[in-house]
Amino acid sequence: MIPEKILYTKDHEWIRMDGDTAYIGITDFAQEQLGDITYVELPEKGREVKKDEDFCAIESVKAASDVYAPAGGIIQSVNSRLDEDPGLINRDPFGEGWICTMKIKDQNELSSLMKSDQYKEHIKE
Amino acid sequence: MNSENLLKTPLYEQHIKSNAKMIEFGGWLMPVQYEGIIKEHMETRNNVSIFDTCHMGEFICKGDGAEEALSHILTADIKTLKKGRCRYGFILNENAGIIDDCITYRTGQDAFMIIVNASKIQTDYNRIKANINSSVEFIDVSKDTGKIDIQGPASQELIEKLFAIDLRGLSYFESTSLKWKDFNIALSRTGYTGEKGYEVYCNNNAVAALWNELIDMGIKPAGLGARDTLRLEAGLPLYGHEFTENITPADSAFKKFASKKTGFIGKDALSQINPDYILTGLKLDTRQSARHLNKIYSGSREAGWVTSGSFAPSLGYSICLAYIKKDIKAEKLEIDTGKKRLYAQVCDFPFYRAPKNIRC
Repeated sequence: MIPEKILYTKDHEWIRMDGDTAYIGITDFAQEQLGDITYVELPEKGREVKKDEDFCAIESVKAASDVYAPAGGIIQSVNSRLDEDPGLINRDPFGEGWICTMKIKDQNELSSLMKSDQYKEHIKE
Repeated sequence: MNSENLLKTPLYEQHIKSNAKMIEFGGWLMPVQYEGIIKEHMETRNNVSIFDTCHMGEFICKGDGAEEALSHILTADIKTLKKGRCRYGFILNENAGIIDDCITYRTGQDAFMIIVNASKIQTDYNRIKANINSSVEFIDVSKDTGKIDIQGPASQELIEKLFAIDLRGLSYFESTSLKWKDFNIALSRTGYTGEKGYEVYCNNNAVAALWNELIDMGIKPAGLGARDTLRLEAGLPLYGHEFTENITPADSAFKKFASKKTGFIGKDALSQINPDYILTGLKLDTRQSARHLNKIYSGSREAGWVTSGSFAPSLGYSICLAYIKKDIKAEKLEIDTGKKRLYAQVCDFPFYRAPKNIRC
């Protein structure tokens, strides 16, 4: 599953622009690697995050992983459904399993991210 | 992962066909999950699952002197072990350090089968061989023996249907044998999940047929991931975590499995041990998990370490087993995960108990 209109990082985060606001999550590949997710440490609303900064931590039954910001900005909202139901990321990583929204500081930072066909190649490696 | 040097069970192809995620475990390439650890865990608690446990070790010990020899080497009471029953116990070194934990069956008047952990097969074999009279027959049959664990409240009904036998009379830690399609099958009402369940033994040439039959009946396989969350909730130990050669039975409530009056290797040392640490249950007020070897604190004082930790799917929060200094009276402790500190509360274990009428 690799949706088209979003951008991807090499660490398997995705970002989807909605005007100035960006939705951020982890990819289907990432959730599959992690296995059943048991805990998501959501970032605080209002927190300023730099591109590539680890701003969220995810735990699964067998593993743990940091989530890195695809771009810099300010966290606007967090998906609080993940507090009680972190498995939502496994079930719908690109939809209901979004992690947070962010007001992007500099849209130019998105230019270094991968498009879907590049990401498809990336996960094959 | 270099899978070329890893051992495969006879069920490897079946796991690949079932889309299992495979990992290395004790030198073996084993399924950690199929559909997902939590799903498999809950299926076991609510219904029934099958586990590939072919990697475990099996030894046969028989003949004149077998009982005496095993009675001396194992902490389990072998002399009073009746035919058709089995017992849990330890193989200890002279300092009472735990070499392995194992289950021993009496299969005949002077015949026994010992089940050991996959990672310790060679060590245990050498240890027992070195302490047994050469006139006693002692063979490692691990390579020829297949094993499937069938665990869950629906396990009895399933096995009765599968083998056309009546299991109503088979009590906990009792075993029986039967013939299925020309194959010899042995099974015991034992397991590693805290649910009613059975361990089924057969020759390696039968195990794939047996597994396939169960899959065709619609039974779901569960991997090592669920096996671990299930056993932890049930408060059951895992060698290498709760037990090592630097740990003795005196350090936990499992010392009752090394309490027989007759002599055994390590008994003298064991009787003189005043343990500094005691195996304790901890429950966390969070889904975040502590892991093996995380350090534990009581205030600023180092209190012990985590032996096993995980999110507990049946409970909704995380749990640990840990060795805590005996003189620490505090009920609230902190665990350092390396990234942060988690609060933990001392508690009894098992952490989860199956409802009374289906409990093992």
